[in-house]
Amino acid sequence: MNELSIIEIYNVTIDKLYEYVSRRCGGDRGLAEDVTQETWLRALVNWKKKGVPDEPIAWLKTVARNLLLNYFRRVKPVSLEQLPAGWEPGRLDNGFNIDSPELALMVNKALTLLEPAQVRLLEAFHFDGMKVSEIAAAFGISERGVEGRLRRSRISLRRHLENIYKPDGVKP
Amino acid sequence: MTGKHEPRKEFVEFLEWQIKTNFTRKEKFGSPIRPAKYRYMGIAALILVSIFCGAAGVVAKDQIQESRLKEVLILRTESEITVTKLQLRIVRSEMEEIQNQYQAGLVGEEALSVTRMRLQEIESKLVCLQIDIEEIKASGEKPRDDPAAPLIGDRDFFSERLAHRLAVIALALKQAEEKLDRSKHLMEAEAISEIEYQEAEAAFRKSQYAYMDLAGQIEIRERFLKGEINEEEVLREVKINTYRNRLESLRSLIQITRARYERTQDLFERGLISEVELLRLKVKLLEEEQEVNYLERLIELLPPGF
Repeated sequence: MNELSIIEIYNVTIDKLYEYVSRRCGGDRGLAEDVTQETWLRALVNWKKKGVPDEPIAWLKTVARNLLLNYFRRVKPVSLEQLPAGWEPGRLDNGFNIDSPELALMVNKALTLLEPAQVRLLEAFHFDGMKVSEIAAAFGISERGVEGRLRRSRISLRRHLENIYKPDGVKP
Repeated sequence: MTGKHEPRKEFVEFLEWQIKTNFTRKEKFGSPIRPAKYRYMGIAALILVSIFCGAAGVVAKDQIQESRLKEVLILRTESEITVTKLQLRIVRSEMEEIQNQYQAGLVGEEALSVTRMRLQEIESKLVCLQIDIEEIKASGEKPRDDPAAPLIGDRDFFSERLAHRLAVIALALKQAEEKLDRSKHLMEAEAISEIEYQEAEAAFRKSQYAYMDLAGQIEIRERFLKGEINEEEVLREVKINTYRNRLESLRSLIQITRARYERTQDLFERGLISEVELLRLKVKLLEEEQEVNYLERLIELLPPGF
């Protein structure tokens, strides 16, 4: 591993990595920069010992994802008042688009409570922008199967959110 | 203008710089040592160049080297600060979560104390790193972390760092004392075993001696600054101070380990535990006894007056 190859990898991957992280945290620039930086610092330590992986961007995204999950697992949920006006968990049933840090925090917090397989599926569709056909091929199931699982995963997500957000306020 | 999910140009450049400096450090400090004959050839070449270029050239080279060293030291410390700030952010989130759980009665006071301690440690580390940067800027050298470190200008960087570390140890000691107190009540109420109480006692003693070790360093520092002892004496006294505190800490630990061993032996004889558990404790006891013997001998070897 030499400096040139690392800088080349950095230049090729930085935009993709940052976009991946930023979308996951609803455009929270401070958090996205911290996570991107920490991911790269870890990459340097790990790659020095074990060599550069075959797919650096996949490695970087995996580490960034784990850092984000750890962060969201620890952070306190936002109150419903901080979310976009009229927003309620039932809206997740028909898909979701994370466009604010508060919404990102809330959805990610609930994601940490789901089964890993459900999380992978929701991430692939809603964060990575994969099509149903692509997910079906990647997961080795039919397109109808993917649609059914996506629907059920979103319902589970909504239920977890409903548990977090009781009518009398935010549950600790 | 940068899009919502696009990185800022300054951020991309800063991170690229961090990656590059990481490699510069590696090249500077991580290169293998050359065989002796090449080193001597290098020295010979340097002498010849010095003769040709004159002493002024060598001085200029030294100045450039010093300036580079200062730059590298600052970069390294700044990177450490960046990582520590991130760690601090994580522990602060954990602290908030633990406080919520504590208020809801989901976790006990101990979990709160442990996280508070970690928070204090990281906050103190961050302050010490910032003092390091100020010292590097003022001295152009690596920060000196021993009681014989010289004052730089009017500032005593060593004592400033020590005061922060002492505050952390003082908190650890206070927490260990509170835990010991709680354990005593619980043992009296037969809610915990004697062994658990002894563990709390061992942790308290360990914190107590760690505190004494730092307090001893402060005293040595004061005597050095008053001119009562010279640099060589400082280094010896620091060593003695550390040995003695370690020895006292081990002696009290051994008493606890012995008591636990006797109790475990009794349980073994009654067929309540396996021989492996007894042996494990025996090994621990032997290790502690060996270290006590070693430290006692080291102290005996010291010249009179120490």
